Order: sequence, then C-alpha cells, then structure tokens
Amino acid sequence: MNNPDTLKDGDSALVDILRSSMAELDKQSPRVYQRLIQHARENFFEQHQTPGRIRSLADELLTELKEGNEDNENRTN
Amino acid sequence: MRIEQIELSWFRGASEKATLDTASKSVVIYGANGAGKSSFCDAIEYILSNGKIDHLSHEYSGVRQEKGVRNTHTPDERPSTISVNFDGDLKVGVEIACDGTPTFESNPTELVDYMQSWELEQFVLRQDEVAKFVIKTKGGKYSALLPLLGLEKYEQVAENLVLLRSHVIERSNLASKKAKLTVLEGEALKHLPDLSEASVLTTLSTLAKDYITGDIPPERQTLSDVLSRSIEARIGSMTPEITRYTLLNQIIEEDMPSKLAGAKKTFLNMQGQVDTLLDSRIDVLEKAQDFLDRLEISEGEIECPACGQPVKAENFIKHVKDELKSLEQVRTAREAHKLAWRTLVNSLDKIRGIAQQETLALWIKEEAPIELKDVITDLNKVDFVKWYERYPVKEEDTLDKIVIGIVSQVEKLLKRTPPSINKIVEDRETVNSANSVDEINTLKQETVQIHWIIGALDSSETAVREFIKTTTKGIIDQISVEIQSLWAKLHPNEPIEDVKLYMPDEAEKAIDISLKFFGVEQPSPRLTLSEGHRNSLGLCIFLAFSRLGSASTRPILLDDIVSSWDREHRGMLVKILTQDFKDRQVLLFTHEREWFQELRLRLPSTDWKFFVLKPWKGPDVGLQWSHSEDTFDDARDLIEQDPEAAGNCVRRIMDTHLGIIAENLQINMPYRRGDRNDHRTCVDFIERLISEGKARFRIRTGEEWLGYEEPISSWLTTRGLLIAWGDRSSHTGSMVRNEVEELIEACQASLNSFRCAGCNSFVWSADRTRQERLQCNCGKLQWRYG
Repeated sequence: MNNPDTLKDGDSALVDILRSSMAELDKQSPRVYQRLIQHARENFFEQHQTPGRIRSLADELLTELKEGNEDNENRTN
Repeated sequence: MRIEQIELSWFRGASEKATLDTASKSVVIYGANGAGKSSFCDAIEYILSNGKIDHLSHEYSGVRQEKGVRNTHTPDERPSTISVNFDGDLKVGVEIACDGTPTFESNPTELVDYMQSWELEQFVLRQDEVAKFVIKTKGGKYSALLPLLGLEKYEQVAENLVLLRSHVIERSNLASKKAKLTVLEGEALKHLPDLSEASVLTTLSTLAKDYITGDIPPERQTLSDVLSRSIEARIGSMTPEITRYTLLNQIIEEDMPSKLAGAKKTFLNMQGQVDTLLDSRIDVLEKAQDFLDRLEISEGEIECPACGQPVKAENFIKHVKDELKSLEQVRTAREAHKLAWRTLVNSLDKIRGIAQQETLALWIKEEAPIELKDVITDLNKVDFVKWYERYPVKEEDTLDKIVIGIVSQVEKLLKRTPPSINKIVEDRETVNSANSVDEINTLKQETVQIHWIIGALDSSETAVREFIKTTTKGIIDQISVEIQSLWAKLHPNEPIEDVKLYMPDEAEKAIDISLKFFGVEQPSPRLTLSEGHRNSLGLCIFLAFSRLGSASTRPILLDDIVSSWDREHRGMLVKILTQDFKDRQVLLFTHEREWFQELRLRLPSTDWKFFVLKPWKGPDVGLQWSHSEDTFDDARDLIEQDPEAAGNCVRRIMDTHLGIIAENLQINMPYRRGDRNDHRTCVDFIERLISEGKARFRIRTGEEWLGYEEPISSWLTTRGLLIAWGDRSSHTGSMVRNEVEELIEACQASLNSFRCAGCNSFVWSADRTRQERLQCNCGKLQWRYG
C-alpha cells in the first residue's frame, strides 16, 4: 500500500510536476520560471496564502518578466 | 506506538484525577450512558486538534471552548489537565487555563507537533460519525479523504495557482492593455494597409517622395520622424487660410462622434455589468444562506475564511469561482470604458490646443460663426483634470453639446476645403499611424508575454489536478481491496459484495462507494444499505484508512461504534480485532453491557485489559473506576433506590455471561421447540454447567489432575439464589438490599471460578485447536471432553 507520508514529503514530486508543466515558460522567460520554481521549493504553493502574498508574487513575476526583457535588449545591443 | 496511560484532571467529566492505565495493551472500557467514557476520546481529540473538540464547536462553548472542556465545578484557578504517556517514555500534556487557553508540552518537544500532524479521522471513530463518511455527498467524500490520502496540500497548490493567475491578470493591467491595443490597431489600419514593418516602410517611402528632397532614410522609425517634421514644416509655410483648413481638418480627424459613442456604450455596458454582478452576488449569497440553513452537522465541510462558518467545500469553491468570474467581467468592462473615455477626453484636450493656436484663435475671435465661438467657449471652460478621472454623468448635456456643436460647425466649414489640403491632412494621419506602430508592437509583446505566465500557471494547475486524480485513484483502489476484505469478514455469505471506492467520471472532485446488491451494481450505498450496514461499511472504511501509511502503527479509538449492530455482526468484529488488528492497540469504549461481557470473555487477556466506569454521580465526584472487570456495579448502583431492579439487573448480567461461557465451553443444551431455544436463562445454563462440570472441570495439583469441586459448590449456591431471588426480582418484585448484595457476591464468585488464580486467564483462553480439551494460558485449569 502507498505510504501517504511519502506523498506528504513529496516536495520534489510537486517541483517535478511544475517543472515539466512549465517547460515552455523556461524557454520563454527563464527568470519567471526560476522564481516560480523557487517558491515551489519553499512550499509557498502548498500553504494557504493571503491575497496580499499572492499579489506580491504576481508583482514579482511581472518584474522578472520586465527585467528579462531588459536583459535581452542589453544582450542584443 | 502505544498509549500507556491517559490521565485527566478537571477535563470534561473528570474531577480531581481519572487515570486510564492500559499497560500498553488494547483496552475495552465499559460505562453506562453518561459515565464519562468519551472524556478520554475528547482528550485525545483536544490534543490532536490543537485545543479544539469538533462536537463542542458551537456558540455556547466559549471562544476557546472553555465552557465545554473544563469541568463545570473546577475549583477556582485550577487548570484542567490532560496527560498522555506512550511507550518509550514519550509524553504529551496540556494544561487548560480558566479562560480555555491551552499550554502544550511534550517529551520530546516535537512530539506534540508530530501528533497534531496526524489525521483525527485515522485515529478516532465515534458513534455519531461511523456512517458520516458513507452518507456524505461524493464531493464531501473527496474533501474528507484528501487529507487522509496526503493530497490536501496538492489541492491547496491548485487553488493557489488559480489565484496567482487571477492576480497576474489584474496586476499586469492585461484587460486595459488589450483594449488599448484594439483601439490603436483599429486607428492605424484606417491609414495603413497592414502593420508589418515592410508594408509600413513601403507606405512611408511612397509619401516621402512628395515631402523629402534628397536621400530617403531606409529605416522606418527615422523615415517616419523625418516625414512628420517635413509635413509640419509644409503646413507651417502655408497661407493662414490653408493653415486654418488644416487645423479644422485635424479637429475632424479626431473622430469625436465615434469616440463619444464608444465612451457612452462602454459606460452603459459597465453599468449593466455592475447590475448583473449585484444580482448574481445576491443570488449566490441567498443560495449560500439557504444551504447553511439546511446544513447537517455531519456533512463534510470547510471553514469559510470570510465568516468562519462551515460550508461544503465543493460549494464554497464554486461560489468563489463564480464571484471571481463576475468580478473579472466587471473589471474588463471598467477598463474598456476607462480607455474609451480617456481617449475622448484626450481628443477634446487636443482640440482645445488646436483652437488656441494663434492662426485659428484669431480667426475664431473675429470671423468664425457665432455657434462655433460658443462651443469653443464651452470647451475652454471644461475642467479636464476632473473629466479625465470620471465620466461626467451630470455634465452629459454639456459634453454632447460641445462634441456635436464643434463637429457640425467644422464640417460645414470644411465643405469648402481645397483638395490639396485634404491630402496633406491625410498624409499627416498616415505618418502618425506609422508612429504608433512601435507602441502597438510593445503592447502586443507585453500581452503575449503575460500569456506565457498565464499559460504556465494554467498547465501547472491542470498537471497538479491530474496528479491528485491519478494518485487518489491508485490509493483508493488499494484501500478498496482492504475494505472488501474487512467487509467480507463482517458480512460473510451476504449478497452485498464488491464494495469499493471509485472516482465518478462525470465529476472533477468526487469519490463515491459502489457495491453489488444481490448481484445488481449500485453507484452508492445510500440506495440500498440499512443503517446497520451503513455503519458497518463506515467502520470498514475507517479501519482500512487507519492502516494507511504511518498511521498503521498508531493506536485507534472506537467510541460506541456497534450500537446499531446485531450480536452476530458484533461477533465478527471480535474476529477482526483479534486477527487483523492483533498487533495494533485498540481503545474500545462501549455502553453496552452484553457486548462488554462478550468481549471480556472472548478477547485474550494477554493482549487486552478491561475497565468498568461506575455510573457518573456528578461533577465533583467525576469519573470513577469500578474495582472489578464485571458489570455488577451497575446493579450495586441500583440497590439503594430500587433493590428489585438491582436483582433484575444481576439476573440479566448472568443470563448473558453464562450464555457466552456455555458457548465457549461448548456445553450441549437440550433442544427446545421453536423460539424457546433463544430464550434460555442463566438457571438453564448453570444447571448444565453443574452437571457437565463435575466430569470435565479439572485442576492440576503437582503432577496430578483432580476434579475441580470448589466451583461446583459455588455454582450450586448461585443456582439456588438465582431461583430464589433472581426469579423473584424478575417476576414478583419484593427483594431487599441484603439479598441483592448476597446474590451479587455469589454470582461474581461463580464467574470468577472460570478464571485461573495463577495466570488470571479463563479456562478457554489457551490454544483451542486441541479437540479433547480447553485450558487456561498456564495450563493449570482444564475443561476436558470425552
């Protein structure tokens, strides 16, 4: 029988799921991808979060997106 | 992991101190209704649930349930305490202050946190909860099982991903960006065949021939800038009349009537969305209110984070999604209106600027028709800062007058425009459109990139939900095998089979129980199973889940769970406890005397201990243990007030005890016709025991086996008293205190005579495989056949 505690300790299982479902994002915006994976590793998604904390993460992702564009522009120039 | 001791002080029914000493064995605790058995279950739940007991979660129990968990007669300032000792010197304790504040401590320190990570549903099963899972909706079953499967956190992940998606949309102003992009693209495509770099460059290069002398810049952006400057210079060099026509054309190019119509339409749409939202929200809340009114306490619920009330998880989630969807629609409508309105205000501001240019301003002052003068005066009075912020509902007439007045007056004047001026104005608009291509491209890129995040969050949510589904299915398939095995033991040869958990195809978050009822497939046990069978199924499911993962090493508490069962099925449960749960500590509480007596005589004393709680006298006295394992204290409790009832109670205890003893010793009872076989009394049994015991009951003295005569004489005395007083109390009344006390002592002595003084086990306790005899665990007592 499956041991649910094995599942409960499945941080890596969750990170693996997110990694494979965000593979496209990794190519499109590695910075946003890394930020999401970092939060997954820190168990952010597994816990109840207030709207404020979710909003703050949304802002972080959009900043990463913007800074990723700037990086690309700098490289192009 | 086994509980060695539970000690309560001023907690629930306990007063000064109540100690349950299990010695790490499984235990059966008997107590009449209200004797205080459940105080022990409550104590365990209080620790596991971090200071809460579910059945005390109501408005009367106080903020910290202090009015329910503390004994009502607790002396001032005395804390209530719970202490649970496990084998291996593990200990958890809690002190509950007068205001209900709990202070936990444990050895080791992390033990209390570890215990609080256990799922109560794998640990304690109470009478009113046995069928609770079975009768839940399929969504309720899903919510209840998710934590037991260790998958609750994945559901939380999926919910957080949905929320994050919604916040990314909001924080990125995606709706506003999309609306602006639509407007800009629409405007640009009026003047350009398409917006590709090559096409725009071709269009500009064609125009450049009319305005630029010399080399034409090859880049689109540079060419566009040079063209703008050249066209403006050309306009500047024209005569005042031509300049005036150009400026008037510029006013018409702003296309204010369609911008005004757009602002009005989006305003009405936004208003409509707000109305719909209000209706929809009121509708949802009314349904929620109706649902709460009908809510059953036993239904699977979650606590609403907004109001703290319990609501069905599936309904709550749907409610939140509906609310979010409505709000998103309103937000989109609001952004569309904001954009349309601000575009119009910007145009009006631009027109005011055009009208203030020297050439046009002088002409308006001295030569323009009076009607145009008036509307330009009105336009100059507008507070654009105020208008920019909000659509001026109260000044709508002024707005209409300005827009319609300016446009109609300017159109009249432009009918006389020379054709060359029309071309230059059109050329300027084309170049302006080319200038907006960069902004259009930026907006396009931004929206595409925001959709990268949204797409990743969408596919992650889908993947997490798929993981939950696949894992759930895998575990419930395995659990079903366990449930079927337990069910088959509890209900052998019954036409209810193939009991299993399954995930219905048509629902996203659902689990139900299917079975075959007389060969017919049933999608739910609620269709055909009786209350007793539903309870039995609930117990099978609880036991199966209690064996899942690391929970399989922990004790389980069963509180009064067989009330609706007949004797045969209770007997089957004994089989499960002694076979499937032999290595597990079970704390079994019951208020049923006969069931307790049967367990005491059938469960092996090597693994089990038996306790009797005296009837509860009051909060000052608290829980009291009986000194004996039998249930004669129930009769003693009645002596003072009603000796006849006490005698009758003794008689009933003996009917049950001796019936079970006769069964264990395989005593042959003479056949009686019909129902009378089931109505034998203790006197019938004791007479057969006396006649067979003389030949069969043996005691070893040294190397010799002798007939065990002492019990026979005790049984004879008891038989005499049962006939003289027991029958009298049952049938005619009149019995006095001394007689009852004597009867109880005789009956207790007779029952104790089946127990070995050396090993304390019954004469039928040891290996039963031998055909020729039964014996106690040490082999000193034997019951021989043949």
